Amino acid sequence: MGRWRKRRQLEPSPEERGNRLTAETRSRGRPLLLGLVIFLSVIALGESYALYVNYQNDLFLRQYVSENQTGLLVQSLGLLVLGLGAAYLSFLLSRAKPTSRAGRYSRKILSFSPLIAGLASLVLWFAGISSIVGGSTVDFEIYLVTVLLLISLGMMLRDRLTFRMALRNFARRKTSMAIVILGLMIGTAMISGSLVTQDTFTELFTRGAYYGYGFADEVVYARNVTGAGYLYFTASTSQNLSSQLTSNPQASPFILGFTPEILDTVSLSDTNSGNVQSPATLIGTFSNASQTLGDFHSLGGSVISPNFGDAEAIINDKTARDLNATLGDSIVVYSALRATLKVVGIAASDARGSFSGNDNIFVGMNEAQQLTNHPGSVNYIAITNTGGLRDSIRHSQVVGLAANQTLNSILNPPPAYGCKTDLSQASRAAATICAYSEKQVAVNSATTSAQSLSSFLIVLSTFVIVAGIVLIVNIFVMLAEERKSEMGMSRAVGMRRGQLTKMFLFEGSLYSAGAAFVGVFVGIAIAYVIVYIFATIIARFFPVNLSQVLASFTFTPGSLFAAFTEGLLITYVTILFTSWRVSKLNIIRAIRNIPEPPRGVRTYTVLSITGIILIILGALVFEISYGAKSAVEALVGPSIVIFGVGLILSRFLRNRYAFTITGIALLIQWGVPSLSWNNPLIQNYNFGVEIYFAGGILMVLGGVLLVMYNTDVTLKILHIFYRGKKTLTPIFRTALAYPENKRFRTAATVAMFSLVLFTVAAIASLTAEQNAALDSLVKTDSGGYDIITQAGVPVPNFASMVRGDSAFQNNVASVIDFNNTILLSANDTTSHQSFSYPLLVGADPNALAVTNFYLTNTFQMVNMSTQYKTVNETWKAVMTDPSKVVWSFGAVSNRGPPTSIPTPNVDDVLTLTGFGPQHTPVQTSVTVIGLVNGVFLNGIVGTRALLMNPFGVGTGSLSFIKLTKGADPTNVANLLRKQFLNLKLQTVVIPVVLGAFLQIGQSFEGLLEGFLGLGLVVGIAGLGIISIRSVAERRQEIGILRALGFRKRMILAVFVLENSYIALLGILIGILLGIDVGYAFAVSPNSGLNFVVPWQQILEIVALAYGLSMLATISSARRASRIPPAEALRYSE
Amino acid sequence: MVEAQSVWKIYRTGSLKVEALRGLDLKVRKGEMVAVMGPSGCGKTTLLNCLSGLDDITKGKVAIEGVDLATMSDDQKSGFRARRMGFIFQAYNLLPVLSAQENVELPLLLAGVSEAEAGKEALSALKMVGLEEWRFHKPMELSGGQQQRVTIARALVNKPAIVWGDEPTGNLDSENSAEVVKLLRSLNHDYGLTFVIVTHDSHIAQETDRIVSMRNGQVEKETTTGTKS
Repeated sequence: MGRWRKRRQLEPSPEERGNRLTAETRSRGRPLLLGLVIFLSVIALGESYALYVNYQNDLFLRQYVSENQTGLLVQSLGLLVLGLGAAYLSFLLSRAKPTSRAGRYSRKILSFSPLIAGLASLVLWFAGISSIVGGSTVDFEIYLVTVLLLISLGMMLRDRLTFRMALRNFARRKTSMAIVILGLMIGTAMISGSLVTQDTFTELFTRGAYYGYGFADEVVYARNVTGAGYLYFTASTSQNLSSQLTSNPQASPFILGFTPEILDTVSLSDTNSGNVQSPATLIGTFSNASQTLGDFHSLGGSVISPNFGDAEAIINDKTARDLNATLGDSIVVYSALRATLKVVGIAASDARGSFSGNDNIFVGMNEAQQLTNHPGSVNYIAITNTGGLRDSIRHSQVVGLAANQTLNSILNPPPAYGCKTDLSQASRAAATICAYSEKQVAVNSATTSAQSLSSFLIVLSTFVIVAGIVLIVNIFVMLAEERKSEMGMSRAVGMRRGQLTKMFLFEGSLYSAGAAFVGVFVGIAIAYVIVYIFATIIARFFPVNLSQVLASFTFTPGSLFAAFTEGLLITYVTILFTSWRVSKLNIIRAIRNIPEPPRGVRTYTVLSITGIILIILGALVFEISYGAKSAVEALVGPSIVIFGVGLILSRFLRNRYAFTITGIALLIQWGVPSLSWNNPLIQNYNFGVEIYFAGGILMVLGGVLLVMYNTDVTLKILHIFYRGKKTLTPIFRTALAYPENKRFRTAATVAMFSLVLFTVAAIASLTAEQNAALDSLVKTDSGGYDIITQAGVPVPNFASMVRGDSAFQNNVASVIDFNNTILLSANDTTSHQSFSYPLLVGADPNALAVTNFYLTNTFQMVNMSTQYKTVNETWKAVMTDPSKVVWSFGAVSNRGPPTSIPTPNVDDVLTLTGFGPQHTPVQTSVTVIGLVNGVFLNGIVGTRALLMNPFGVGTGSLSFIKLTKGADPTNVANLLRKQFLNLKLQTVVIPVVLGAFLQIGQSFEGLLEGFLGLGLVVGIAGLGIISIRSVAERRQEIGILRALGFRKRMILAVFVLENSYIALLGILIGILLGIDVGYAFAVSPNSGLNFVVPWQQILEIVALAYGLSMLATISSARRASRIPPAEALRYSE
Repeated sequence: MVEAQSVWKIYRTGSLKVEALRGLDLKVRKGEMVAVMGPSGCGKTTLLNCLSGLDDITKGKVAIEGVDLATMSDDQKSGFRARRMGFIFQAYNLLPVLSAQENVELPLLLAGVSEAEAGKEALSALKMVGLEEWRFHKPMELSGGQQQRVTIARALVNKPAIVWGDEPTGNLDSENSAEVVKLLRSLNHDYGLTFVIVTHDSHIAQETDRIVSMRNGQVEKETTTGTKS
């Protein structure tokens, strides 16, 4: 008895053991804490010393301290109190017993520590860090990812057991792991591909801008109001500018030199080859121009001497190619006068040779002045900054504004029409010679274009990214189902719910990091393919060197990192939410693998409240759309309301009815064009490609809801296929029962396929419709004309010149001449928009029918004043009243729904400002009575009377030509340029250009289809995971099916059929909705398209998507069929 | 009805060799109800699997209704099972995605019976086990006893020559167990169905015609119970 009592006393109680453990844990933590305290103390001491030294040396700081002593003292005391209080509280909480209230609170706070750390990081970012490192989106993303990684690392180190479990789960099944990473990485790959494409196009487009301007960082000129060329001014003006600007203290440090030039549009004719080129750019410079603008280099790389004499010229390689010219050839140059020059050099299209980006011919200044008949004058000054070819644009703003100040002081223009001298001034038309930072503008424009293209790709990729998110949720829900009983056991033996969440989170972090890493590099490959295809397309229509385009392929570490962080963030946030959700389980139900009970009334009440909130939110979003004139908000608001109503209905009706109504409502709202894309409400609203993204997601959601809540209808339809077929009946019955049973899993996979196929089908439909309408589109866009000519000099009567030339007797039906001028501005006094340098054209209203522009053009009048019933009436009003005009915007009809182009509205009053006969600014008011798509005609269409009064313009350089039937427009255009060399004609062969433009558009659409089709990887990965999971889950059931009499091939058929059902359902929903969007494109106002279903392409898409899906699932199905029955029956998960 | 001669079943896992059945001989007559008993790991379930064709034997011969199973292909064995055998497992093994009636119809559909006919027969089988009103319920909506009765209905619906039972009352309480045994016995008496039942439960064994006791992969002894079929 005594010994027993003694033995009892020796053994510690469980509470004593627990307390001992706590003490041991605390004692292990003490050295760490001590080290941390010393570390912080040293830092604090160092900061204090630095502050002290700063105080000693900084007068302003000493002054500030002495002026704010009281305040600083109060702040210091407050900080001391706060610090001491926090420290004491921490001390108390850390000493508290685990079972006491304080102990429980401290554990709770500790469990929230990752969240607190995250919030604190966000506060730190906005409070200070962003101003130090830069507040761009990329910087924020990098910061977020760094914080997330550090917090995750901290969590992993603190909870090593959970991390070890997560790591082992991650590596548990290598095939599944590979498939998951494959599916998750595609979103990152598409972002990476888009950004690398942006890097490449930025390099490509900006190279054109850099070489196009070369070392002319700022250019000084004044436009000729006839629209052709620049006004001439004396060389002394150039010298004045040079001498005054070089003594400007702000600009002079950045200026390398000034180069006066003559730039003129000319025609060229090679007497040796007989070829003609028009237009070309004549560039005349002094021989010392190479000091600032750089040397000419031959194609072999050697320097070409700039000291060429009169009657000599250097041409660039583009000119040489077009003229088929070689060294020593004689070229006749047609300017104001004509001259024959000898080619003494062929320059490579580098920074010097590529100036203007056109066919160039370089001559000495003397020669240029003679040719243009402007002795002693120049019309262009190039200012070169320091910094080389690319870095020089950093100084453009300073130099440009300083140059303008100098020019204003030299030339003394009217104040309202002087050069812009301040950044705060709005851009305005100037009536004098001004400096323009055109190279910087061109580079910025090129960068913006590349960014727009990349943004467009990213917006399109969003469908795939959303599909990727659905895949993540699906995978984690399946993983949770797979591990349900082991999770239940873990909880039963003491694992906390938070640890379960962390386990999934850690595992998910590994997946997301792996997927993001792989995705970045796959994205580089995708981008290369895009660039390659782009280059191939462009090379088909333009004289572009494929290898040169490919040589621009590049990527920046910033883009790769941005793609990595964005992909990681998207995956991580999704996993965070899903982990929290799946860790909610009932322990007993999990261990015994009993399904969760149906949701109670309380859940539906919560959903109803959510529904009410959504309705209010949707209404607010719709309300906002009025003020913002935003189409996305106007259409998404009602969709949110529909969701809200659906949630409320689920409280009172069965889920099936509530969500079927929701699905149908969404499909009607977005599927009926007049309620969505073509809704009259949004026709004047702003919208871009994001509206298709929002609509697509919502349509797919509606379709999936409708189908998944009515699968019995689908099954009844499918029954037709196996009714009466004895062998098929058990297979179909078994196969189709499983998808219906696992609704969420099936719906998620169907949604993934639908999203991707929707985008592909929509683009395929649009492409097919454009293809079918190519001829009619060309006809509409051409306005009924075949050739447009633009002369390099004003031509009083081009029409009679053509009529008088026998070469055109049989092929030209009519020529319509326009008088034209470039105005200084057109200010819309109604909508308060301002348009700089608009073109004003006017034809002869009294011309005979066939040559009367107003009566013969067939350009599409998209809007007209309500006082006129027909297009004809509108044009007649313009003919008869000079105060009435039609605004022509240039847009090739390569897309169905309209996009936003800034124009005045119909019935707006414009104040037109331009130069009068005395070369002083004059004004007049006109009313816009129509909006027309003039395609190549971008400006204001009035009559000759308007041009004459008040602008005094009685001539022009623009003509439209209609050919006789059967005449080849390309041949006629070539002939026109040749016959009228002295006019320096540019010609646009309308059907060829339009056709090429439309074909390029279609080729790009094909490229986009391929790009979006990559998203199929997500759907296929999803299906692959499901099929692997299904085989594992149903192993025992496979055994019983075999026991009942299912043959091996019947088991195979069951799995194949099941996966086919899911894949085809998703594919069909996506295809149908995509075709519906194609229909919306066709019926949108003024699209010029007819509804066409591209059956062949659709079938190809379906076959490819289905084929790939089957490839992904066939091996699992075969494995299932080969499981021996006895082994399967013994199996338990 | 069932004849096993010198049946061996050897499992090889790497270098490990397990002799689950060691030269076992057994005969089951038509209309007989036989219980197979023995300690865990003695090879009872393996015997069942080998006799029913769910698993292949290593050596020996198994014949059912005079047909040597070794001469059948996998497809033939599957067809044979569909037409001539019924199975009742401990874990019920109903397909969770099908309703009670659909589960019972499955063997008939596999045997080539039309859907309409299969529906009628299944209903009749469910009536026989007293579950007609539960025919549209999924297995998870049924109790353990009800699920086992559905399994019995499924096993019997195609009027098999022989019914194999592997611990049919293993997951049931005593009341349900007694009911199931009573049902099986009445089916054996009324329809002359041959039953081979693997069981730990001596009460069930007592209800059968003969008890075959196994140990270490062999038949240790056979005892006639005296209960007449």
